[in-house]
Amino acid sequence: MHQENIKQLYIETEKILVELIKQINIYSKNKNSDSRIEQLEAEQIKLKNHDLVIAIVGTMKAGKSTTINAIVGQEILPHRVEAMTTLPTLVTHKKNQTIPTLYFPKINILKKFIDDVKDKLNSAIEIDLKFEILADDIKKNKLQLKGKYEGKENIFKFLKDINELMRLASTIGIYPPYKDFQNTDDFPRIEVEFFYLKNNKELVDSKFTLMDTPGPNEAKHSEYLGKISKKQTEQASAVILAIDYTQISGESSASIKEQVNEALQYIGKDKVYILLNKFDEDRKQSNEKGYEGARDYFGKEFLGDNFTNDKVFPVSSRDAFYANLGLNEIKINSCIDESLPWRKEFGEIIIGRRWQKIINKNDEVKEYCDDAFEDSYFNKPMQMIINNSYENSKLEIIYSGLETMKGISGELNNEFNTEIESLTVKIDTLKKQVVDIKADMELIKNISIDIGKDSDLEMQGIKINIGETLDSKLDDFNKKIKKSFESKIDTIKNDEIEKQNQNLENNHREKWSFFGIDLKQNTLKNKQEESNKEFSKTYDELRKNGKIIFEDEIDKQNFIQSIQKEANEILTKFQEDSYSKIEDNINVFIPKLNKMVKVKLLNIIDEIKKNMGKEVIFKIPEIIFDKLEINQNLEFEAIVKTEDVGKTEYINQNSIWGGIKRTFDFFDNNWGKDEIVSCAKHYEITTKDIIHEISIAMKNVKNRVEREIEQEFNKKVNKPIEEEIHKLTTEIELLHLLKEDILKKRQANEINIEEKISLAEKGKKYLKKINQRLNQVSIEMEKNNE
Amino acid sequence: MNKELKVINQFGYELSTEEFEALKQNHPYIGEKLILDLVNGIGVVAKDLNDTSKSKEKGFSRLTDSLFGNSKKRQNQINKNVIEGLNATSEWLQDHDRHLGRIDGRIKDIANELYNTQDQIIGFYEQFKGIESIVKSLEVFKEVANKRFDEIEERLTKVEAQQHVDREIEKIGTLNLPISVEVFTVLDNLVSREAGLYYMMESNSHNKEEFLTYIKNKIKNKIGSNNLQSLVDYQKLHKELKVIEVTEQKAIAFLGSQYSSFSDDSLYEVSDIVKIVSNSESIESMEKELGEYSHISTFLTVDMLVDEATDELMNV
Repeated sequence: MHQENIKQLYIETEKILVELIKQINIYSKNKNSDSRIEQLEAEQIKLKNHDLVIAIVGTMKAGKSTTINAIVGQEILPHRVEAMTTLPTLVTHKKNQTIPTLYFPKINILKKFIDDVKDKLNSAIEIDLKFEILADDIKKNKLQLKGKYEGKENIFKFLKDINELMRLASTIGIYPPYKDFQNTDDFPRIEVEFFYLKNNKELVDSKFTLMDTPGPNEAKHSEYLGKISKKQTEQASAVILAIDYTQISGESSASIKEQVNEALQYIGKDKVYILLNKFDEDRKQSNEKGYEGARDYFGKEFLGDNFTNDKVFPVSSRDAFYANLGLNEIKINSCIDESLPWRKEFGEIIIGRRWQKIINKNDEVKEYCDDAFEDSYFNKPMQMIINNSYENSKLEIIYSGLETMKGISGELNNEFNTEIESLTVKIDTLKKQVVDIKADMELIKNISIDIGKDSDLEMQGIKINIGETLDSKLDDFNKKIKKSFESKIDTIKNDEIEKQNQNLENNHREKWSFFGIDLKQNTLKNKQEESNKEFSKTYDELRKNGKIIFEDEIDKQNFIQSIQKEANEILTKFQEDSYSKIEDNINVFIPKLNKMVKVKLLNIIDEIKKNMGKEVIFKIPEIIFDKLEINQNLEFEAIVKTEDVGKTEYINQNSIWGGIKRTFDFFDNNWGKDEIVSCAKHYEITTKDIIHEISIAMKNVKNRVEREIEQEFNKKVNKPIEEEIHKLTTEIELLHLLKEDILKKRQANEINIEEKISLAEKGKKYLKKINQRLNQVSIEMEKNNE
Repeated sequence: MNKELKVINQFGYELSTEEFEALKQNHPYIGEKLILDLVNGIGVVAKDLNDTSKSKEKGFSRLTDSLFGNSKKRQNQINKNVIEGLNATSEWLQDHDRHLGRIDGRIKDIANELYNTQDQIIGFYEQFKGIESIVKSLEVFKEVANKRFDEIEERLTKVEAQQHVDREIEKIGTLNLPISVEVFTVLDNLVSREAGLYYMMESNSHNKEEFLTYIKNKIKNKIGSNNLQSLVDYQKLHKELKVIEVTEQKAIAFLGSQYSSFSDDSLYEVSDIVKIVSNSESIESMEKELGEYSHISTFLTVDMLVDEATDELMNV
C-alpha cells in the first residue's frame, strides 16, 4: 500500500476517534462513558505514539549486534560471545540524541532480584569460578544498578552486568524475574540517533525501535525467557533473522539449517526477512553464486523451497557498520582520529592496504565509506523492511482503532434505541418490558450453564479419545519391541554361536596338530554341537524371558539407541495422531456448538429485542476456530535402564603346572585357568523394563497432550464462548438498567420526554455518520490491500 | 437598480450591478442571503464586545470577507450605515413583488433576536453619529419580518415543491462547476425557494424524511450511479475552483461560509468543506485546515456528499 494512502487512513481514523469521543460527551453521557472514552483515548495514544519495532534474532555468531550497530552507525551493543541470557534490549531512534542513553524502567525489580541472589550467595553456596568476581561484588553490595545510563561505556557495562547476573542466578538456582517483563516498555531501552535514519522523512511520525532479543536457540535454556522472546517477536512489526552465510555450505550446514527452520517455525514466515550476513567473507561461494544466485540457493536449495527468496538478502553487516561508523564519526568529530580504537580495523576493511595514506582525507574517506556501504548490499533490505513494517504496523493500529470504535458505536446505537423505545411506549408497556427482559436474562444464564456442560462433555470425550489412541499405540509398541528383542536375540545367538565355533576350531587346530585329522574333527564337531545346544538353550531362555545380555557396552548403547529411536517415533506418531484427531473433533464440535448456541439463544434474543427497542442489534455469540496452536516438536527421552551384572571370566594360572594343564585341556574344560568374577560387566536389558519405561514416557506425553489440549480448548472454545455470552449478557443488563432508570424517572415525572427523544435522535444521526465513515475506512483499507 | 442590491448598498457595501448580476447567474438568491448575513451581522458585531471568539466564526465581517475583502475601515462604514441598512431591509421585506422564501423564517428569527437584545446593540452603536433612531428601526424591522413570515402560512403543495426540485436538479451538470459544488449550489437554490419552504412548513417527520429521500435520489440519478462511489478529491476540487471566475469563487466561498455559520455544533460537513476549499489560498493551507476539522471525512464519497449536503442545507 502506498504510504500516502496509509497516511490518509491514519488521519481519518484519528478524526473519527475525536468525533466519537465528542459524540459520547454530547449525546451519550452515562456511567459507561468514562470507560468508553478511556478505550478510545488508548487508541488515540496508539496512533500518536506509533511504535515501530523490528526484532532481530540470529543463529549463533551471525552478526546480530553488528547488524544493529550498522543501522545505528556506532557500536551501541556490546559484542557477545555467549548466548543472550538477559532480557530483550531495545534501541530506539531519537533525532538529535548523539549520546546514547539507556533507560530501565523496572530497575526496582532488578534490585530486589540482586538481593535474592545475594541472600543465596551468603548461604555458602558453591559457585562457578567464572562468576567469582561478580558474586563478590554482589556480596559486598558493589553491584549497584540504576534506571538510567548515559554514554556507551556505562551502557555496555550495565548490559554485561545484567547478562552475567542472569547467568549466575541460573547456576545457583535462582529464577530471574522474567515474569515481570511482559510488555515492550518494560525492557531496557537505549535512545540514540540512528545514522541510517538521520535523513529519513517517512518515519517522522513513528518511534523506530530495534529489538535485540534472544532467538529460539539462545532462549532455549529458559522457558520463561523463551516465552517473553516469542511474544515480543510475535508483536514486532518485522523480524530480521541474521544467518552466517559462511556457515551454510561448510561443516555446520546441517546445524544451521536446523536452526533456521526452527527459527522460522518459531517466528512464522510472514514478517521474517533473512539476512545472509558475512556474504563478502565466503569469497568462493559469493563469487561462484553471485548475489542473486546466493538468494536462490538459500531459498530453494538450502531451505528446500521453504522460504521465498524475495525476502532473503545477502549482506555484509560488518562493512555497512564500518561505513556508517566512519561517516558518522566524520559528521560528528570531523575526522577519524588516531586515538580511536577501531581506526585500524576501519581503515583495513573500508579503505584497504593503503589506508594510512588516505584516512586523514575526509572527502576520500567518505567516498570509500559510501562505496563500501553500497557494496555491503545493506540498503535494499533495510528499505524494504522499514517500508513494509511501517505499513504493517500502521495498518494494525488503524485496524485496532476501527474495531474498538465499531464495538462502542454498536453499544451506543443500542442505548439510543432502547432510550427512544423506553420514552415512546406507554408507561405500563415499559413496566412489562422491564419485567420480561429480566426473566429472559435468567434464561440466558441457564443456557450459558448448559453450553458450559456440553463443552465439558466434549472435552471429556476428547480425553477418552486420547486414551484410546495411546492404548492402541502402546499395544503397537509392545508388539514391535517384542519383535525387536527376538530378532536381536537371534542375531546375538547366531553371532555368539559362530564366534564360539570359531574359537573351538582354533583351539582344536592348535592342540590336535600332532594327531589324526579325523579325531580332531569329530571331537570338534561334538564339542561344537554341545556348545550350540547350550547357547540355544540359554538364548531361548532369554527369548522366553524377554531379556538380552550384552557384553559390550557399545553394543548395548547401539541397541538402546535403536529402541529409543523406535520409541520416539511411536511417541511422535502418537502425539501427531492425537492432535490431528482432536483437531478433527473440534472441527466437528465447533459448528455444532455454534448451532446449539444460535438455536438456544435466537428466540430469547428476539424477545429481548422486541422489548428493548426494535432497532437494537445483538450479536449471537459465535466461535471461529482456526487451528490448534501447539508446539508439536517436543523432544522425548524414553529412558531405557540397563542392569549391570558381574561377568565370570577365566584367566590363565601363572604357574608352570597351569601351563601344562592348559596344554592337555583338549576338551576345553578350562584346565589351567582360574574362574573369577571380573569387574568387567555385562548388561542385561529386559522387555519388561523397556515397556515399563516407555509406558511411563507415553503416559507423560499423554498427560502433557491432555494438558495442552485442555488449555487450547479452554483458550479457543470455552473462554471465547464464555466471554461472548458474558459480553452479551452484560450489554443486555446495562440496557435493562437504562430502561429501569427511565421507568423510574417517568414514574416520578423527572424526565422531559420530548427533549430526551430529540437528543437521542440527534445522537443516532451523529452516530450513523460515524459508522458511515468507519465503513468507508474499512472499504479503503480493503481497496488498498487488493 | 435591483432591490436587493439597493439594500446591500444601503449597508455601505460597494457591489456593482455587473458584479451582482454575475453572482446571480448560478446563485439567483444570493442577494437575499447577503441581506440576511448583513442583518445577522448587526447583532453579532454588537456581541463582539463580550465574545470575540464567536464573532470570528459567525460575524459578517468574516462571511462577507469572501465577497468584499476585509477592512476595518469598511466595517466602520457599515456600522455607520446600520440604520439605513435596517430601514432598507424593512422596506425590501414589504415589497409585494418579492417571492416568499425560506429565508423569511430566518430573517424573522434575527429580527426578534435583535429586538430582544437591543440594549447591547444600542450600547455598541452609540458611538456612531445619528444613532438615536435605531430603537425605532429595530422595532419596525421586527414587525415587518414577523408579518412577512406569517404570510408564509398559506401552504405550498408538495407537488409544487417537487416540481421545484425537478427543475433545479436538472441544472446539475450545466453550471460549469465541480460536481460537488454544483450539488451544493443546487441545494442552496432549493432551500431558498419552494422546496425549502415546503420542508420547513411540513410538520410530519415521515413526510419530511420522504421529501429528503426524494431530493437525494433525484440528485443521485442525475449524477449517475457509476460516479457515486468515487471519492471527493479535495486537491482536485481546490484546483478546479481556483480556475473559475473570481466572482463565482467568491460567491461559493460566501455560501459555504454562511451555511457553515448556521451550524450550532460544527456538524455541517459539506458546508465546511466548501468554505475551506474555496477560501484556502493554497493546497497546503487547505489540507491543514481540513485536517483540523474532525467532522470532515477524509474519504467522502459523492454518495455520502449528496446525503450529507441535502441533510445539512435542508435542515438549516
